[in-house]
Amino acid sequence: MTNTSDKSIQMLAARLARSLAQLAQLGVPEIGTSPHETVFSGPGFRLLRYGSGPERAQSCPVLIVYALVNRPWVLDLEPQRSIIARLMDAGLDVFLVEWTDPDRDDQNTTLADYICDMLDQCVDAACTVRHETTVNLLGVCQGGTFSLCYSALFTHKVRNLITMVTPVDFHTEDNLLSRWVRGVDVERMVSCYGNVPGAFLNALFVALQPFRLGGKKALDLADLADDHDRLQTFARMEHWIADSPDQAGRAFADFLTMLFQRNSLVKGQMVLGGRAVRLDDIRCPILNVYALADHLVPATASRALAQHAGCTDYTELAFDGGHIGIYVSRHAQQQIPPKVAAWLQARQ
Amino acid sequence: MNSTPPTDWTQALAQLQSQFAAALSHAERASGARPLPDLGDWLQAFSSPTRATARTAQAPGLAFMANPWPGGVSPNTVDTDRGGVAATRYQEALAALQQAWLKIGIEAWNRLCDAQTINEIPDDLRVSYDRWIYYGEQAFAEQARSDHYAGLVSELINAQVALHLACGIGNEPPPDDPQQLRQALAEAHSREANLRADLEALRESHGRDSASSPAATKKTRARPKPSKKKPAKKKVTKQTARARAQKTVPAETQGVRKKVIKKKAQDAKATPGSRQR
Repeated sequence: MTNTSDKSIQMLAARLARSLAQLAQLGVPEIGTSPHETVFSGPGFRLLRYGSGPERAQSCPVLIVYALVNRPWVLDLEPQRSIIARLMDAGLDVFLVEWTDPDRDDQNTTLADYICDMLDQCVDAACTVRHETTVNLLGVCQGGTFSLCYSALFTHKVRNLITMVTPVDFHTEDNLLSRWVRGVDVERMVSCYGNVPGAFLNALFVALQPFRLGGKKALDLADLADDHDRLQTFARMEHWIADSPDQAGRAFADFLTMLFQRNSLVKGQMVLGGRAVRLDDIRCPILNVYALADHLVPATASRALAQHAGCTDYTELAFDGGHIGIYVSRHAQQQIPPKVAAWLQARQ
Repeated sequence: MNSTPPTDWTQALAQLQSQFAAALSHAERASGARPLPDLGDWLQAFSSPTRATARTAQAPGLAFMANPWPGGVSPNTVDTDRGGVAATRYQEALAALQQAWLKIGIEAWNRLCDAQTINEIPDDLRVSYDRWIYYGEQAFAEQARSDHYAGLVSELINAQVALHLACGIGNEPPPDDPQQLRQALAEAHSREANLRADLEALRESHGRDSASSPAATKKTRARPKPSKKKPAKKKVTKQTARARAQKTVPAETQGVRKKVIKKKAQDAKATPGSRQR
């Protein structure tokens, strides 16, 4: 046993050293490279439109609303792993709301500012570009919660709604993150830091699966030795994970207290900009996409939407994978975008 | 639980950890790239519970919280009473969480030992390693879901914020005590009154200065002229418009409108509950 172990250690260590050396040579690879243009921008956001050419106008449009946490490039990690590219392949005209980094002046930007003002401006801009009066929203993770709130408040502007790995009920048994932050003095924290450091959130996310994300992932690097493509994907993922923007303090506090701590959305107690947000006001068709092995947004947290949304046309799509796998895994690339596109096109 | 694990593969696993940490550290130094998340410390903390008891355990991801000073820079003094209390609170919170990590590490190790005894010990050490990860996540999930663990995490975050505030990093939140709020409001009113007085004084001085300039005189003289004419014009147009409107509304319609208004008034009287609604 000892000799075998010694040998396997030596082999593993050698492979690992090779992987790490090759990884170091790669530098920081580019992500988010699908062609796009900024069609509208304002303080705190940019509205991007993907692809080019007049044929876009004939395609069914979709406006992706990403989370404030992390950057949306995970949806366009590399040409072979790009939900955005696959949605375009499936015949959609893709718009994306990109939230820009908050600076000191944005400390008091509220959740209502993001949803009722900035997102509303993006919706109006997309409508103007498309010469239409309503949009199809695709909200991702926290962006899905934003999209739900928006759809409940601006019912006349949303034609169809797709939520992807979106937390709705924040107090399900298996929601680790929610359990951990319920006792945090958010007001004090935000008052102390102003904008909440992205590193803090990253730390919390990694702490949710310390063995897997801290040890296994790095040791699995040994398997990537001499595989340039997989090493590049690894580097892109690491780059995306580490590149976590700070959070506008007030909006962060609003989100944490209203949703993680009070679970206001499913209780019908959420108020944004003086208006009550009620999920049963959402009457447009909904496609709810969730991941069965999601450690950040448990499937139960997403599936709660079925009980609270007011629409009659409600569809669920379960993905057998995790929170990140749903964006980047090969399986997800083949499965999710074509189904999303087909669901939308059937309702145009 | 198995208290005496077989020595050959445990030693091999520990050796693997150590080589891995060394290789990683070397590659990071060589590349000058952003380091991967705290693997060296993490591997030490979770892989060898006996060693972890001797040294301070450090868990992954929580490094941000385990390092109370942003950017690795600590303030020069934490010697005030408040700073001392906050530092003690932080140390206690961190120690309590480290205890929990230690418990998880031991539990994961024991489960791995049991599994290795029951099943064949694999030749490939990697299989043992993957098993250890599996049992580690399993033990972690059980602990991390508990209210106790959640309390430890939130207390560490709160303690860190308190420590930063005690050291003058960041701003104190506004008071939530009614007495303090009243005092803060009174101070704000006082500041506002002073600012208004300053503004008035500035206006007056600006008015005196501008009164002496010929251009300003012209302007102040010019203003009253249109203001005399315009209201008269507006009055006329409004009156004319009203008269025209009254003329264009047929007599029957006027009657209906009056009736509707009367009916509404009657309805309101008839249903007193409607007022409350």
